[in-house]
Amino acid sequence: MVSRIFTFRSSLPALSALGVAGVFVLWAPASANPAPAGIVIESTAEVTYSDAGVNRSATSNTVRVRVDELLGVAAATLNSGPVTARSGPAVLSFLVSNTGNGPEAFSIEVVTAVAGNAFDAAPDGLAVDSNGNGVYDPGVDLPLAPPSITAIIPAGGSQTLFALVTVPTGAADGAQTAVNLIARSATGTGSPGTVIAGAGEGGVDAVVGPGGGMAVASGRIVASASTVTLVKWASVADLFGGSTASPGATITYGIQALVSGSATIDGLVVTDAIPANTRYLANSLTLESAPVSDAPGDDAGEASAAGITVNLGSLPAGTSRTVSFAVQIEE
Amino acid sequence: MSYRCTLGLATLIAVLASTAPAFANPSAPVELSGYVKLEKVTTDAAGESRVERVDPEVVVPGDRLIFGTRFANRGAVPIERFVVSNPVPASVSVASDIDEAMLVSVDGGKAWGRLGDLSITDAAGQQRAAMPRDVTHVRWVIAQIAPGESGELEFPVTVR
Repeated sequence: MVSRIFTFRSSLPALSALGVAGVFVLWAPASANPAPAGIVIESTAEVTYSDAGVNRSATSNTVRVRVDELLGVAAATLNSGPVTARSGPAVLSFLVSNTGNGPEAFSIEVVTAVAGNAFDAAPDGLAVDSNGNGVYDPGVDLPLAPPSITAIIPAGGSQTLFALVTVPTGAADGAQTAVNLIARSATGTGSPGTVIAGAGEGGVDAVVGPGGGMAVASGRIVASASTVTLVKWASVADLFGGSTASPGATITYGIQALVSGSATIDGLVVTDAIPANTRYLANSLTLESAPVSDAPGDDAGEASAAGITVNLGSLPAGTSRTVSFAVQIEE
Repeated sequence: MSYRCTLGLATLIAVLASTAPAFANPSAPVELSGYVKLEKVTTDAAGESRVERVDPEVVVPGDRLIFGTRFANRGAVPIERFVVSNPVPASVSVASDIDEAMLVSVDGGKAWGRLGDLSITDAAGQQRAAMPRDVTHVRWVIAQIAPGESGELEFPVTVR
């Protein structure tokens, strides 16, 4: 008896019938809850029918498919914008997420020599956000020492990491530098679809996902620097009402310290020597036109026969302070 | 015992056949065989895409699988009202290109209909149209399978 084959296929038969291929892609986007690595998918068909008036039922064999491990990682910068930093230590925050379907550890690399950088920060190591507060707490957040492999992160989980760097002195005010964090699946990386037999969770195969098993995030630092400019002037008043620099004349010096740039200058001290052939006029020292005592230790300034010293403390960018003192030309 | 009598003669023959000595095994005239295939899209050197079906060996989330049931009537009488129901395994979701004429359930097999006619009450209590990912069961109904006839019933899924 010739069998008449008829086929009920519920899938559309031709690739060309689909138009824009949202369905036939090599990998659909990873879902938020992927089938876990190692899980066995089982399918069984139940059948009922009528055979010569008798109702019957039957069950097909169960088909089984085991899901292998897909390797995937995402990395993102957590700072909301470029981090402004003066020369010295700076911290950039990153989030590394396991986008695969099995628990996985990731090796982390920080790259500071990024093409296009006006200057490169110096890498000082990595730390894990051990207390999970999103802020780098030295001494509490544990270092991720080389080989810098994270603890195992479950599928769908993530870990906040801190890249510690040093901004070099001499970086121009406003100059920018990129610091990249590269996360790589510890099981393996490579071209998407590469199968690493038996390397997955529970001994299933591990397959490198669409991202190649790695991800890069880029943080930015903007250097904040300032320069101090000192401007000095003198005015002379002689004994005769003129301005000749003659014996007995008084020279009044002004020194302005101006901070330009974007950083506050701390611990700014102006010093000046009393010129040869002159002597310091006692109690002439002023700061911002207010008298400053000659005696040391009681206020911001001191003066002696040798010279003057005024401690300006911290000056914000864009501000200035003026010191003045007077000397008399010796006869 | 109710089935549509589209051919009165066929029904009579079926009744007579059941009282005659059986040559086929009357307790299992239907042969069933489940299978699963992985559908891969390959792009050759010329940039042409080809769809291939292979036995699943390495399977990962995002892969497209075809679950199928092969059936055959090895009996001497027609099989009537052949209903095949397949629960959708938990780790897969029915693909978006499933035949819209298929009977599906989105409530665990209680109610059946075409996907376009079904709705779901979501977690927030809102009603919305059922999506392929909501399908919990698929079903086929074949009115009659003549002796010797066979076929395949398939549905595509995506591994979650």
